[in-house]
Amino acid sequence: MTLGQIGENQEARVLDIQGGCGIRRKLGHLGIHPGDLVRVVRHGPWGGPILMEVHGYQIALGKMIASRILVEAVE
Amino acid sequence: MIVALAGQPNCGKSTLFNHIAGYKAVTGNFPGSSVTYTETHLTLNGYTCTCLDLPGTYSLSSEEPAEREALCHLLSGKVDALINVVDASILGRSLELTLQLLELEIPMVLCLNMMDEAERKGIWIDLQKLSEILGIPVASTMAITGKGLRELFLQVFRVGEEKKKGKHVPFSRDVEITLQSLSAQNLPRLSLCGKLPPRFMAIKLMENDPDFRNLISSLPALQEQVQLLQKSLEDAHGVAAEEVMSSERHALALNLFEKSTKILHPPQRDIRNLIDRWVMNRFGGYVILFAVFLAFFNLVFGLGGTLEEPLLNFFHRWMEEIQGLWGTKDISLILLLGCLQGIAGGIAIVLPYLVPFLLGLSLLEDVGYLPRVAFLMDTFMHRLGLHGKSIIPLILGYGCTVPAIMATRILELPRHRFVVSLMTTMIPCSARITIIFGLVAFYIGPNAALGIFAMNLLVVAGLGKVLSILYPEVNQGLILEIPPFQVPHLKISVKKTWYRIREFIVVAWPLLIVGSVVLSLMEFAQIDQYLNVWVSPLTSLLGLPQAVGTTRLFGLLREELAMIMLAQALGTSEILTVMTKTQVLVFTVFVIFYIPCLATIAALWKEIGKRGAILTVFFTLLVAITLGLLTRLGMGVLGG
Repeated sequence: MTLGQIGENQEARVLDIQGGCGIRRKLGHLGIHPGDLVRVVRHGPWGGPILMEVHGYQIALGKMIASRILVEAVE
Repeated sequence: MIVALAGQPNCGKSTLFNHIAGYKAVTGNFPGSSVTYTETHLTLNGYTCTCLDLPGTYSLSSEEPAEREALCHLLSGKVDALINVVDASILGRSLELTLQLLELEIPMVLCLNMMDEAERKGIWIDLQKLSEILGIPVASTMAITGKGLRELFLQVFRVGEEKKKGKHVPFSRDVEITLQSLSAQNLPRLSLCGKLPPRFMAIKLMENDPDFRNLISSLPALQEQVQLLQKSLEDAHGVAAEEVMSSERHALALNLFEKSTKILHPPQRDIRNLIDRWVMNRFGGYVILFAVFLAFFNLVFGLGGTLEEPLLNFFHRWMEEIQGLWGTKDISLILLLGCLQGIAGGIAIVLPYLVPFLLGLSLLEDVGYLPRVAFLMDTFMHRLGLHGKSIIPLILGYGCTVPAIMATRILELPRHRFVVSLMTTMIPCSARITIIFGLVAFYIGPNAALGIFAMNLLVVAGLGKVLSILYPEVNQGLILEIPPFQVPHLKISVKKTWYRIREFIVVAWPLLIVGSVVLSLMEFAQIDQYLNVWVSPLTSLLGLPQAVGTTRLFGLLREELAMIMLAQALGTSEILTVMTKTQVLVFTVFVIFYIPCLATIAALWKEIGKRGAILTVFFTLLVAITLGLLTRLGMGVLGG
C-alpha cells in the first residue's frame, strides 16, 4: 500500500520509494528513508497534498509523491 | 577571519545571522547565479571576522543551485571556520548535513539552536558526548533571543585560530574500505572550486554526484575503478551505490542521535497544534487564508493611502515653489523637476506602501504561515501545472510586482520561476488596482470592477496553464517542510524588511529618477505629441482617444501616475465627458495586462534574465492588446 492510502493519524513504516533517484535523493535529504516510521497528520483538502510527520517534524508531500512511497500500516 | 554559517532550511540560521548582523549587512549574488548570500562584519573580544550566511541546504549535493553554490564556496578555501546551525528539536535529521560538512575538513562548531523546542519535545542532548564523537565544540543557542551567541562565536574564533578540524565519523566497514581504496588514488590533483579533500571526493564519487562525475570524465582508468567499487557495494547491499551512501549516513546520524540524547517525555502538545488544526482545515483553512490576506492588504492600503497623499502634496508644493523661484521655464528647471518627481515617486511608494507591505510579509514569513498557504493551495496550483509554493508570489503581486518577482526565488525549478514571474506581472498591483477602482468602479460600477478582477484571475490562470504546457518540466509535486509556528521577533523582521527595501532602492529607484528626467525632457521638447501619433495605430485599434498614448509611457515608469496622467492628457477629470464607458473598460483592461512598469522590468531582468524580461514585455503587450480588442468587440456586440 502507498502512503496516500494511510488514514489520518495512522502510523506506517516506509518500505520502499519508487521512482527515479531524484525523488529518492530529495526525500532522503528530508530524512525519509526506507525503514522509517511516519505518521500521516492530515490529508490536504480536495485531493491536495499529504501532511506527514517523520522523526518529529512535518512535511507536506504532493499526492503523486505520496503514491510512490510504499508503506506498511503499523498498529 | 571568514566565518560561514551553514545549515538546513528553517534551522534558524538566518535569525541567528540577523541577530549579529548590523543594518549594513550586504546581500549579494554568487557569481553567475541568482543564489544569494548575506555578509556582515562582527567584532567580539578583539576578534574581527566577516560572517557569511550561506543559503539553507538539506545536503551538499551539486544538483540544486543553492546547494552547489554553498558547497562551492566552502570548497574555495576562503572560509576559515564554519558554524553548522542545527535545529536541536530535529537533531537526527540535521546531523546528516553535519556529517557531510565534517568531510570538508574545515574547522567547525556545531550550534544547537532552538533548544527550547527540543525541551518541549522531551529531548535532552548530551553536548559533551556529541562534541567527543564529532571532535568539534558544540554550543547551544536560542537565536531568537540571542542567548548563547557570544559563547558560540568565541568558540568559533578559537577553532578557527587553532585550525582544529573535526573527526570523520566512520561508515560501515565495507564502505570505509571502499572509500579508502578510492581516496588512496591520485585524487588530490583534482579540484572543484578549490582543493578537494580526498575522502570527500571519494564519497561524492560513490554517490554519483554529477559535478564530480564530470570532474573525472577525462580519466577513464579512474572512472572504471569507481564503477567497479560501486558495483561491489551494490552487490553487497542490493541497492544502488548512492543509496548505500545515503542510508549509511542516515543510519549514522540516527545512531549519533541515539547515543547523545535521552528522551525524557513524549512531546508536549501546545496551542500550536490547535492553531494548525484550524489553519490547515479543509474549510476553515481557506476562510482564515482569505481573512489574513484581506486584513493584510487592508492594513497596507489603509496605511499607504493615508500617508501617500500628504507626501505627494508636500512634494507638489515644494516643486511649485521652486518653479516660482526659477521664474523662466528653462532646461535646468525641467531637469530639476524631473529629478524631484522621481525622488518623490520613490518616497511616495516606498514609505507608504512598500515598508508596511514588506514588514507584514516578513512577519507572515517569520510566523511560518506561508508554507501553510502553499499546502492549502497546492491542489489548485497543480491544475495549472505548478505547485503550491507558486501561490505566494502571485498573492504578493496584488501588492507590488517587484517584491513578488523577488519572491519567486522560493521555487526550485527555473521554468517554474519563469512561468510564475510572467503570471505575476499580469496580476494587478496596488497601482493598477487604483485604476480599476478609480475608473471602472467609479464610473461604471463596483460590479464591473469585481468582474475585471475575476476576468483577470481567469486569464492569468489560463495563461499559466498554457505556459506550463509550452514550457513543460517534470513536475515532481510538492515536497515542502512545514515548520512549527514561531513567535516572530520584531527586531529580526525589521532587519529583513530593511534588506528588502534596500534592494528596491538600489534596483528600482535610480531607474525611476532617470526615467522621470527623460520624460520631463521629452515633454519639454514636445516629443510626447509625436509619440502619441507614433502609437496612434494602437490607440485607434483599441478605439481609444489619441491623447491616451503618452499616459501609457508614463505608466511604464510609474504605474501610480497613470491615473493622474490620464486626467492631464485628456484635460479634464470628468473622464466620461471625453471617453465612453467602452473606452474606459478597454483602457483599464489594457492597463492591467500591459507591460509591467520599469521597476518590474528591472526586477525581472535580475531574477529571470535578459531574455525572460524581454519576452515578458512582449508577451504582456500581446495579451493586453488582444484582451483590449476583445473587450472593445465584446462591448460592441453588447451595444455598450
